Amino acid sequence: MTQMSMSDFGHDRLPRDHELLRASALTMRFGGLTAVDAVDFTIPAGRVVSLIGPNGAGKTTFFNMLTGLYHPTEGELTFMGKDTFGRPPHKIAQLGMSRTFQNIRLFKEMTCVDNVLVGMHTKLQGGMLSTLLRLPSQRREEREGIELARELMRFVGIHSRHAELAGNLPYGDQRRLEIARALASRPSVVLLDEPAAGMNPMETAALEGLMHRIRDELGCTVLLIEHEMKLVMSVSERVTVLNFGKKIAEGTPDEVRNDPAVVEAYLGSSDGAVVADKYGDEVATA
Amino acid sequence: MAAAASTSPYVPALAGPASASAPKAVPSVRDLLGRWAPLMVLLVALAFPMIEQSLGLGMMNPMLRILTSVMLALGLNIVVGFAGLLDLGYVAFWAIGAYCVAWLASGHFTEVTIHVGSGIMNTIPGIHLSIWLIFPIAAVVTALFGVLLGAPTLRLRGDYLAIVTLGFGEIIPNIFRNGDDIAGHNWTNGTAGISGLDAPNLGGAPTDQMLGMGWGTWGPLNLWPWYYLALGLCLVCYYVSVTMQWSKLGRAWMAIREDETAASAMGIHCVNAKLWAYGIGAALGGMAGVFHGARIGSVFPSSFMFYISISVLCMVIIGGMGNVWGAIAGAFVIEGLNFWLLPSLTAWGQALGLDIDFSSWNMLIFGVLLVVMMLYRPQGFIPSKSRKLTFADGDDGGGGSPPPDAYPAGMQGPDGDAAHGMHAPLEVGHEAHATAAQAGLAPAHEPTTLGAPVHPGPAIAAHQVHHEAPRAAPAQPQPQPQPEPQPHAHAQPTAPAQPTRRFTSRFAQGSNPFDRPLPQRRDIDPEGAPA
Repeated sequence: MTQMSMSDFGHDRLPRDHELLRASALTMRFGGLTAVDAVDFTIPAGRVVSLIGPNGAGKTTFFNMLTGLYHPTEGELTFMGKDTFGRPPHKIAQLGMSRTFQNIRLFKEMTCVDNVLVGMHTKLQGGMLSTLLRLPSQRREEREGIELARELMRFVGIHSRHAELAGNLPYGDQRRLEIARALASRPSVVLLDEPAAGMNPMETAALEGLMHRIRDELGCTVLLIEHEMKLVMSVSERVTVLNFGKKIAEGTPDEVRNDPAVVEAYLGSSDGAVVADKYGDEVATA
Repeated sequence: MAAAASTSPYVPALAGPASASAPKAVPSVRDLLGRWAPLMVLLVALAFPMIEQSLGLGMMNPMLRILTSVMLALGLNIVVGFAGLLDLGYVAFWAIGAYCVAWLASGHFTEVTIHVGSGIMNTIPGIHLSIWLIFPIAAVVTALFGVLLGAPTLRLRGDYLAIVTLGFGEIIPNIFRNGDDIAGHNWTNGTAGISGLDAPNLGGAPTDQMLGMGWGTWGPLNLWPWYYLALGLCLVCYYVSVTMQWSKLGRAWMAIREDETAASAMGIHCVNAKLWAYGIGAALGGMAGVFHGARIGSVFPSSFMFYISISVLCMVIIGGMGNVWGAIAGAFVIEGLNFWLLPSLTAWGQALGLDIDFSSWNMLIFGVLLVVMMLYRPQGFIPSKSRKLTFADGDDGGGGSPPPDAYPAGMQGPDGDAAHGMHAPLEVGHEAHATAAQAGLAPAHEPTTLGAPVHPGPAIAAHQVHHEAPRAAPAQPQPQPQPEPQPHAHAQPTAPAQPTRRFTSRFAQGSNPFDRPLPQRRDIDPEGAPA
């Protein structure tokens, strides 16, 4: 492993708590609907930050704006000190942001190792000429890329699966593979959109450890959208709560948990005549 | 041939020197076939003219036509098979390539007299370039046209893309048909086409007899040079396809084919990648066009009809989209049918006194073939295969691993390389252990040495026994190999309802929703007064 290896993760990183991403008054309107309404948000480097909120709060829309899949209507967006407002997704990915998707979007007809290699796209040289001539440099790069891909798959806990088609993996492993793919570009920040959805408690517990390792071993900041409150509250260092497109609370898990506005968003107002959200119990009691 | 496409160029390098220490697996027939089939095909292809001549098969002309289609199919396979861009106008690039050779190696432009290595008299007017120059020129020109025609379609997907490319496939031949008076110039000679193309040569005088096989005379009576030229071009197309397939760009194409949004989120510049696919695919089609034009010696707009686009597309689909060998096989089947089998059937029929022109049935047979293929083998003759990598540590990527259900996902892999840092407790696994032991079998997830192929047998068997456990009470003999059939062993009260580990784990850790205390409502005071 000379130029590409897991040890490359973490170097060339911003110091901890340095502002990695800043969104100011970021707004997204779809016609008359304001999905995200003037949200201010920052991601401190080297932390696990969560974005929570009831269904339809605008979390995924917010993700899509950060990663360039949506062009925000208004606001400012700075990532790694560069203005990324309205830039195309591949440019933002090249700056060091990568993501997973709420509904898994693996390349199903490609093998697992090829999926991870696609994630490595921005880090590979692989020019046309060197590829067609099969220059030694290009072949070495491919070899190292494949090794790194296997290492990443081991890191997320799927071993010896590289030759299987991604679509044939069990659900939990597909989620892991998607994380491996997102990590392959050695991003500064990885955005995980409901990684625990559909996972059983054991897998969720493993996921918590995985996120800590992404932060500690890879030095990669994690931004998490999650509905599984136990996971959010134990893994995150900072939590931002959205409701109806507006930020209603921000702070440490403890602060957020006891914030009346959050309790109200999840459980309804205190008039009494409300039905607890399915996550409500965990917000209220955790 | 099936496994051939999955053979990565990196296999020898990766399996490299360290493999001596790893346990050597006996290569299967399929692996051997996969490794050696391309070489064997090449040897047969090299020897084909001699075989053909000695047996007197009369297959040279059909074979040239087949090889031309192989080039086309390989080119279209890059656009349709790799990048997933449905192109219904591929014939345009074939036409552009053919007109390139018609312009650059004929007396069409009588106003000028340019000769570069053509091997014919310098005084003959017109542009006369050596065919060896025309190939790269035409490749570049068609690639540019590919990019040009591809650019407006970049925002389109699926059906819309197909319709736009269909339009291009109609426009280009029509331009050639009506190009006899554009800006006062006769560019294409209209429907009459351009004829009298130079016969290619190896640079010497056309009358040179090389190797005793008449390498200097490329004509309808001496097909060997044409054959080897076509074979060489096919090899170039094959090399480009295979090399690109497992490269950064090739993976980007496949990623775009699978999910364009996810691909762009991975940092792939989809516009660039698609344009490369159009360009490279068009260049291969253009080279086929040059070969075809030079071989026929004349170029007519009527030979670039829409059905050619469709028939090349069918070769790719019938052969197996995205598979290089599939495209080759598709070309052989469809063009072999059209140009060899049906005419031969007609001839044989006539020899038997039948007066049936089977050649006129080609579209009928073609249609039936399409329907039958799509019903019974929609993935094509040789479906797209993932590449198989083997590593120095003997890890073959799950070939010998137990099925996914045999162990909890991600908890402990078949190679015993436990997920470091996965903190989930393993109690449930221990239960499985115990039950597996009860069944007199090896534990399902006993760590094995890295690289040693795990035999799937025990794990599967244990899993099945386990699965049967809760309803094993009726004294039905289990099909699993048990030393002593003990029908009641599984119905012990100590291990009541312990179904498969996967199922058990869902309710492990006290997360069973029915075990948990009811949620406390903070907003409602239990005494009755609102908080």
